[in-house]
Amino acid sequence: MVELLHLIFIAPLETALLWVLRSAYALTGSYGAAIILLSLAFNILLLPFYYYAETVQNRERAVQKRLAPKVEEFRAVFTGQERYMMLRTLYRQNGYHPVYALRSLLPLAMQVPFFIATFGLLSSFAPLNGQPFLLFADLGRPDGLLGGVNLMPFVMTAANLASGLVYTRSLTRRDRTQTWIVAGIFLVLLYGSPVGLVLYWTVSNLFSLAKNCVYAQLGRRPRMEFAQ
Amino acid sequence: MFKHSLPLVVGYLDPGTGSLLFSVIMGVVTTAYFLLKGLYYKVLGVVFGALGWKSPVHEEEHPLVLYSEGRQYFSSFQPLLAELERRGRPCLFLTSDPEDPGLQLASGTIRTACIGAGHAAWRRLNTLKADLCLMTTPGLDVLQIKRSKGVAHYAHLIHAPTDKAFNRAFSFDYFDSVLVCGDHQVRTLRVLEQRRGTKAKDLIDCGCVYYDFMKERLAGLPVRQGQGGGPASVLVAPTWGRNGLLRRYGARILRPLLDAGLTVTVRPHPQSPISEPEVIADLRGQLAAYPNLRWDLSSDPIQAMAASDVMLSDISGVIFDYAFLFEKPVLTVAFTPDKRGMEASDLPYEPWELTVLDSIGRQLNEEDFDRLPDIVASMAASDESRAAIRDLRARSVSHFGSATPRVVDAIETMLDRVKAERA
Repeated sequence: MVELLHLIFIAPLETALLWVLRSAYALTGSYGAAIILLSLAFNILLLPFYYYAETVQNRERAVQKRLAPKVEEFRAVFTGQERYMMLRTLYRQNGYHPVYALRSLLPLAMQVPFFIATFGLLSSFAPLNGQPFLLFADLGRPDGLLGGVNLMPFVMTAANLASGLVYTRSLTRRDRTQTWIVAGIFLVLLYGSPVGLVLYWTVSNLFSLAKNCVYAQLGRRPRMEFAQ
Repeated sequence: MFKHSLPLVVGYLDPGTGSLLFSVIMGVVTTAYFLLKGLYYKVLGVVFGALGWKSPVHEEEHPLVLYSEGRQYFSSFQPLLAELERRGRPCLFLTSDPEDPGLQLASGTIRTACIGAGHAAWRRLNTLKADLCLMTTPGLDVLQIKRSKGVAHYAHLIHAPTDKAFNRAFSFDYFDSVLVCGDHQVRTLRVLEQRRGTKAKDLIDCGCVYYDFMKERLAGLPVRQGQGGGPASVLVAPTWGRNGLLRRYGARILRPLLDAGLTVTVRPHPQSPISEPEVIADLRGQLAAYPNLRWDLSSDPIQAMAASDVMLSDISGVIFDYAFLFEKPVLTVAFTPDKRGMEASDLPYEPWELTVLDSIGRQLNEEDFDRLPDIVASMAASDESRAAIRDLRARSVSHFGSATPRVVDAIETMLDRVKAERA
């Protein structure tokens, strides 16, 4: 089953990514530069999905924020079936249903195959072995630049945290905490990865930082007013 | 070829997607819980409904159905059934109470049936076929009673003069019509419609049928007028639940009256022994030694009302019955009622009943409790109080004592309209 899913959703993407990577390498003669181009291309391609995902998420946040006081009120005074029925009516009158939260799954579901394909490609791409790039002696191995300690995972995490800082400025503490947790997981999981892969995600995070700065500058994230 | 796992990959998300992931997980969990709960209640409804559904009249289509929760609403339905029979209007009267006296009113045009309570009744009502269904039960399509696809028009009969702000939220939102008895009720229902964006209902000002019934009963009843030199008689008739006087103050408010030798009759709300038996039991225990204390648990309040000089209560519908029917004053204990979960919490103004308490008597503070015997004595003898009550009644209850024919006129108009729409 998993293999079938892989064949349908992941394999074509891997082929496409591999093609982009090889084309970029042919163009630049450097796998480091090729990875940067691949990351940029990947992020630009995903931009509409991000936009849609954030739009859905913002709408969800807006509705939940607006309904929260009434939901709290009903939770405080009603129990059991009565509470269920009152909440159901509240949602109904506001054109909402908790099942709508699942709409956020769609953009995520669209992104996951890209992530799997990229990760699969770069974590074990043999041509990276022994390839130097800028400070890095071997794109196929962890960098070990700080006396054996890897530098790039920290650079990547710094970019991630900066991006998160911009992103969550106007959000709740819960959103901020979630972002920090994700960055922490990111660091732990990627710490021992080949520098080529870490480079890819560092560029990806810098792209995300730039995107969030542009949104912040424009004074808006993608938003949709909740339909009354 | 590639070794990778999903959890690891998911860790590689940018802040937006990472946050999204958490939202999705939360959303999935919340939604699953909500949907499962809904499914659970639905299954319960189907199972229990099927087990208890014995009514033999469920396949027929009826022009007019009146549904009553039980005998406590007989005073609202009896005048209607009598008038409908007088006009020869066929009607099916359904009740959840096997002891409902309305069941005895079957005639050539009126059919009656007990459909049981709970799931059996809900299942029966939710599959009803009728041109018009009229009920005093609020919360249509919110609580267990849903709008049946076979019913063209749902009407709610308001059976109290209050603006219903202390009903549970959404009580009237899914009726097509509401039969009201005053402008204050129209105002509140319209404000709620606007705030919630629900469909505008037909609000028909007919008056309160319940008062027709009560007025007729009063005609043959000895009503206590003046104390005749003896101690005043106080009827304590609170509502139940969080806003109820007995739960809030208990013996503290009753002792001064009892110690002063006044006759005190405590008549708990019919729901109190069901929903808060511990409150009643506790009070009975504490006050058992007073010979001048009576507990009235009868279903009919009218005897106790007639035999008293002053009522002591809270924000209960019964205070207006007492004031408007007997023109006697009501002492209400002032407090900030808990509006959570009620229609009142969506209103940008104070509910009507909170604004007229000084017109039907006097509001008390906790500091007044020790002076209660004096306050009762002065209010019981007050002519001003009686005049203020009459004035408020004239402004708030249309067609006082003659609402029934107007309600039946409204029913006939609704039936004609449904027939015209179906034709």
